[in-house]
Amino acid sequence: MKYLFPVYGATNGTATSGTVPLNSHFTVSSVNYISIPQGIKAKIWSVRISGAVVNFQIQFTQNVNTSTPTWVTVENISLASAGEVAIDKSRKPTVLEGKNGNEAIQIVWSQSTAAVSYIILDIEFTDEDD
Amino acid sequence: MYKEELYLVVDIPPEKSAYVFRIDTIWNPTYRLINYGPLPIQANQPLKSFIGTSVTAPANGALAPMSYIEGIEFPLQNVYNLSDMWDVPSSFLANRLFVVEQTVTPEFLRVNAYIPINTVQASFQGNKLSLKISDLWGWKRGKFVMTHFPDILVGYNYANDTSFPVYTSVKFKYWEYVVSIPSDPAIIFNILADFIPEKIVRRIAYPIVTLAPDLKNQLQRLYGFFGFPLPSIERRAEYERKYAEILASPLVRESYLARAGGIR
Repeated sequence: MKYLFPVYGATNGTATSGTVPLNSHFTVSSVNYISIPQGIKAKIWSVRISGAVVNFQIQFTQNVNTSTPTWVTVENISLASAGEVAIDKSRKPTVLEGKNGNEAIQIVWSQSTAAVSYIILDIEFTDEDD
Repeated sequence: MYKEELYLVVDIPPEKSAYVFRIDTIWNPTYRLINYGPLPIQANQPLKSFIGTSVTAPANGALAPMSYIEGIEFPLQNVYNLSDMWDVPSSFLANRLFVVEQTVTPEFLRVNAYIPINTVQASFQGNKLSLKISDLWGWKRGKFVMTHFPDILVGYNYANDTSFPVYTSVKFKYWEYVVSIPSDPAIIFNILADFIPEKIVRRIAYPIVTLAPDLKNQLQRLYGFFGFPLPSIERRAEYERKYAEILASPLVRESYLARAGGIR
């Protein structure tokens, strides 16, 4: 199985930091994190951000099922001025593995002035060996 | 009349046997795809949970995070069985079967099947450990291939082991075959021994590990036997004799398939 899907979200425009609520074309409602099922590799193929000045962090945890997961920043993406940044990883994606089903990805933001910024990732879930 | 492959082989793993069918017709030579749409799940319908809490479907056709559902059939209006579009009556459509390639999206959803509808068909170390959709393995993700025989209800199971509440969708690619059983034991031997070119034989394993009593009874009524024993290639004469005996047996000659003209 190889399934590529977009995950997108936005800052709320009223807070200067927070966790981005994430959606995709198949979601009923947004989620605060994307869990990675056991045996699945989550490949982040691209990240695009746009809108107001912002710093987004893609974070990973190995203990999402605990009351206080430990989140580690995998990647920082910033807009120094209003506009758009696109990062294409088509040669080598960032790969995060679900080893026991407790792994997850979240995206947090921080801004000096609260405003709306957008983020979209292309993520592939696969259970196949490369 | 339209044909692609000339023969269809359905392996029955627990019997170490296989049904060999001649494909007389493919009823749908051109139109193969059914975009069925969401799984038949109602909003607020109780689902089973991986984490023990009670959970319900968040919307029509949707699965909650870390939830699963068992025994899904596919309702359709104006077909023989309104609650299951893949079920046809063996009393007068015994010579018909469907091969269905299913894709459920999002494709990371787990899928497997119970055959008949309440019988788990995956296990480990023989039958020591029964494997359901909620177990660590014993299922596939996204795609599943099934042979639908007349009057054998299949229950599909789906699981969402992610944090997403997901809208589901199912697409079927299907072949509606009209079949008969070859009357020449030598042909049957050649097909099962792989002496016939691959391109004219479609071979599929029936996804079962046990021939449950209901399933056994229905296959008996339908075809009169449980498949041709898989041959040893150096014992052609012995196996051809076995196949001839099967074809001549009263149960086969009186089966629904024989009555439908599928055994000559």
